[in-house]
Amino acid sequence: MKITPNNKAPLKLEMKNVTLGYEKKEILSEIDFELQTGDILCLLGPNGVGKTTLLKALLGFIKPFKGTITLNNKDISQWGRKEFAQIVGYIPQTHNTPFPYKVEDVVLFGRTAHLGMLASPSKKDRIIGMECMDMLGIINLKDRYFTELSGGERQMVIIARALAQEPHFLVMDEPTSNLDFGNQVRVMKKINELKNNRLGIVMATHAPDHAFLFGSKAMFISRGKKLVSGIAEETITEEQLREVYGVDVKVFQAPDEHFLNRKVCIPII
Amino acid sequence: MILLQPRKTSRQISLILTASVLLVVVILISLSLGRYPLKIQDIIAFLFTGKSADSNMSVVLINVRLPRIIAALVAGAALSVSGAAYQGMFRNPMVSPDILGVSSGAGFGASLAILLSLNIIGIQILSFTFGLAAVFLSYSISKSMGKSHDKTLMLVLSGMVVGTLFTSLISLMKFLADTDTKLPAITFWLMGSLASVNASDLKVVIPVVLAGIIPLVLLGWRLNVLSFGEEEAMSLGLNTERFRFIVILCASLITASVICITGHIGWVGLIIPHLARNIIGPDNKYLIPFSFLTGSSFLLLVDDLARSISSLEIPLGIITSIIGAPFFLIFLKRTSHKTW
Repeated sequence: MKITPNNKAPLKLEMKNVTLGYEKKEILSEIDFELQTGDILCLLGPNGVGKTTLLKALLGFIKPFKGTITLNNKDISQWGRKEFAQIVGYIPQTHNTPFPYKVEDVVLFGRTAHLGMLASPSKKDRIIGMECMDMLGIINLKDRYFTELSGGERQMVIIARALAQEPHFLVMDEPTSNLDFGNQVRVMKKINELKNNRLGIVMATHAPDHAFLFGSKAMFISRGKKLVSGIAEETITEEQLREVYGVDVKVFQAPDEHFLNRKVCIPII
Repeated sequence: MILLQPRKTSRQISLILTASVLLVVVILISLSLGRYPLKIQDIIAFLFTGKSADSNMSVVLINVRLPRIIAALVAGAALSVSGAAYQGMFRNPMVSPDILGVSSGAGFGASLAILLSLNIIGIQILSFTFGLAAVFLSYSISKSMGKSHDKTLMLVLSGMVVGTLFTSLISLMKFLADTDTKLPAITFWLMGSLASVNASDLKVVIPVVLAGIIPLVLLGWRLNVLSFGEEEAMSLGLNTERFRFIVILCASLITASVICITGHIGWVGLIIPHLARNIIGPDNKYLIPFSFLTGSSFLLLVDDLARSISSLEIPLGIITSIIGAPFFLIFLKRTSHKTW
């Protein structure tokens, strides 16, 4: 699988002192982060705090009121849609289409950024699409109708579509929210592999454990501001979780056997 | 390892070929129909040799029937293609080419021209201009509605507003029109007919229609990418703003140029893309050419009925709806749940 982008200079996605909102209403302010290919950043925060808004700004769907968002030091508004999509892929939270496309066709939509205005996918594009489905273990779905799949299967198809884009960064909005436990673990495993293949991943999630799992960076957002960000091990603490979510959680070091050398969150009820 | 099976596009290609053959058959049948009887084998012989035992053959075929047949083909193809493109762009299989107000605008232009006693060219020009103006108005209103609104929804809503506005203006024209001569003229224009289309109209309209249809056929695959909505299409690398503008421009151009010579012909642009999608699937790369072929066959058959049911010609717009509605229902009942 050649989703491995160049291994030379890492690319950089950056937000500097960004303020975001819709119309005149400010939702988030003072957002700073920097992400390189090969890193994962988990966005944590309560419902409705603006995680999706932040991701949308990162993708250029909404413009920041203040501050700058750059990809490779160039403001994202200066990037053409096509060039940007060759570098940054998006896995949104909900997926629907009124038309009964086959799974294989949906995955091929990921090739848009690599095709000319009047072109349609060639054999080479189809092979890439197949490889992406194979990598996620969903090649058996290829002739099914996307509209008839379960939520979890759709999620996997959309991930395959984003991989067919051959991006260097992936922006994911709660990639495991609709999945059963097995699919959650499978998706996490893939995300970890992608990170090791030097993809940069920004992901909004409700599970602090995700950040421990990937050994990633974590950023807490609460009450419209970035509270704290850094390495998950240091950032995700019992005090921080209480502060952000208002609940009591114990953070333990998992036992060292089975190579589980990481922390876990256990809620107190 | 990976099993890369060849994609089954052969089904779509053979469907398109079948539709093409069917269209040729329908054209031959249509050429033979009419008050002056011609045999299909004589027509084929004439087409290949240029000779015929019947001295009237060339006059009847070339001067009388052919322009009308071409008009039906062009109108059917144009309305179906723009319907298919709009259904794809608006992500809604219930959308018709009228969605942005093109036919109400064109109807108003024609009524105004009739009220002002303009000649047929004047009617066509005003109808074409107001058809495009209505779309332009809908587009501009939706653009001015602020950036955080859903853009597709804004387009549909402004289209509704503009459509309603022009429909009221048509009523105003009817109200002001002379009831003996002009009111019937307006009413007949609005019913739609191919009876008055002549070869010189076609010479102007065909290039414009082709200029709109060719880009839509070529952009077919990209239109699929819009099916997951604005943001996902953008994240996949589509400049949605520009793309939407091109699709609207092409679709309105072909619809307005057809309506201005035929009057209002409803239903075709709604049901043909719908039926075509049921048969060939939602991939616009194949759906648009397939709608082109089935739309022209359909309208040609309907026009054959319009001119041969009775000695008094029935307006085409009436027949498309009378046939279209039950046909559509039967088809919906018979086909599966898959399309929506």
